[in-house]
Amino acid sequence: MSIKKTDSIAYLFKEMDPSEKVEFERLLRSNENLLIEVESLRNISNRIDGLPEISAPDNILQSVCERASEKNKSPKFVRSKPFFFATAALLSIGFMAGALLIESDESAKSAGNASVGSVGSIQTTATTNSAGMATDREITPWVDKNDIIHYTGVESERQDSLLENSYRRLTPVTNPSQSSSYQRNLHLTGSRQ
Amino acid sequence: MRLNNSDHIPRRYEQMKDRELVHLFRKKDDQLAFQELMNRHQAKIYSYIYSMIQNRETANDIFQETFTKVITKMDDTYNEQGKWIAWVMRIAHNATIDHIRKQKRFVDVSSSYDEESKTDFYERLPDEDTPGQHDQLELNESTSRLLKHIGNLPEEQRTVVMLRHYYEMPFKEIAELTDVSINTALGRMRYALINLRKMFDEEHEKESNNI
Repeated sequence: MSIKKTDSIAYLFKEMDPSEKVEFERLLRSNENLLIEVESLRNISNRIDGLPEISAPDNILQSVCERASEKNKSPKFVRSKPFFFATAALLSIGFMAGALLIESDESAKSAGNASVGSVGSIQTTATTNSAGMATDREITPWVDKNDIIHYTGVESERQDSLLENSYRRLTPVTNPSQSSSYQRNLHLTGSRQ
Repeated sequence: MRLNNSDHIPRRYEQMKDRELVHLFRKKDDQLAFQELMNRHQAKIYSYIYSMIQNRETANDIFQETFTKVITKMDDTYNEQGKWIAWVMRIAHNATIDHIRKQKRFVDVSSSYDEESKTDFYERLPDEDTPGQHDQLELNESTSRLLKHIGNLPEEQRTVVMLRHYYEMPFKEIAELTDVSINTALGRMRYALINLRKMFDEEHEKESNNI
């Protein structure tokens, strides 16, 4: 067993495993220098053990105890139960009202879109940027009963060019097995009215 | 070491565990429970602070600061699963080390040996930081000497010695508290004991020469 400098401290302060302790004691019997070091450290350690505990002054202890007794006397809103529950109730009512308002707003919007006559509509905000087509207006595609795509918010000639542009981007599928699993029941039949 | 005016605390509190007392104080604002906790631990905490600082006034301030934090933070940061005393000890240790570091910055001297005065940093510290004429503690001579020597140890060695002595803290916990490895903590204890032995030897030599 190789001796580490800290082994003597671990031994003195009983921080060794039983097996390590046995091995270290065996070394102590055979190594006089190690024994001298351990005994010398033990001697100083015993002196430290004699250090008495020093009590804090009474006035300091008293002031600490007073502070502890004042701890819960300080006004804390949370500690007042009726106030706490009233605040909690008010907050939850507020949240619920807010949520209902948002919900009704959204349902009104979707109702407006449904009135256009779409079977399934997809809401997007598109900013196209082809020649002369830069626009910040909202273009909403929707699909009719015959699965034909239409765009609301676009004049008919713009719609044609928009569709034309879209078709040009379509590329034939060369390897269907590698196609994405992402599928939608939307057919671009290309029917133009 | 019990408080002088602790006779009014019922005996059943003495039989409770720290955890139960803390629970009573936190949840039911039971002042007797807090006083019992103080009874049990104040001397250890105060002794640690005093042995590290070695100035009565400063030790009083740090002790109060520690318990102010204990009282105000107990509801928020103390987790009842852990030992209460270890949590308090950590606060006391941090407050003590903060003070020592502030002092060092304030004094702004290097810890190297000064050839001119033949003294090191700890010997050049102002008198008010070592037990002496300003100190109001009445300790016997051998305790005073030992405390003086401990006060002359480098801060990190002193910390390990005092944490071990007053809290019987395992080296693993000392290592965690001081943010070092166990081997470093053990090594610091070894150097502390070797340094103390040297100081006692030098003192003994001086006394022999005077005779």
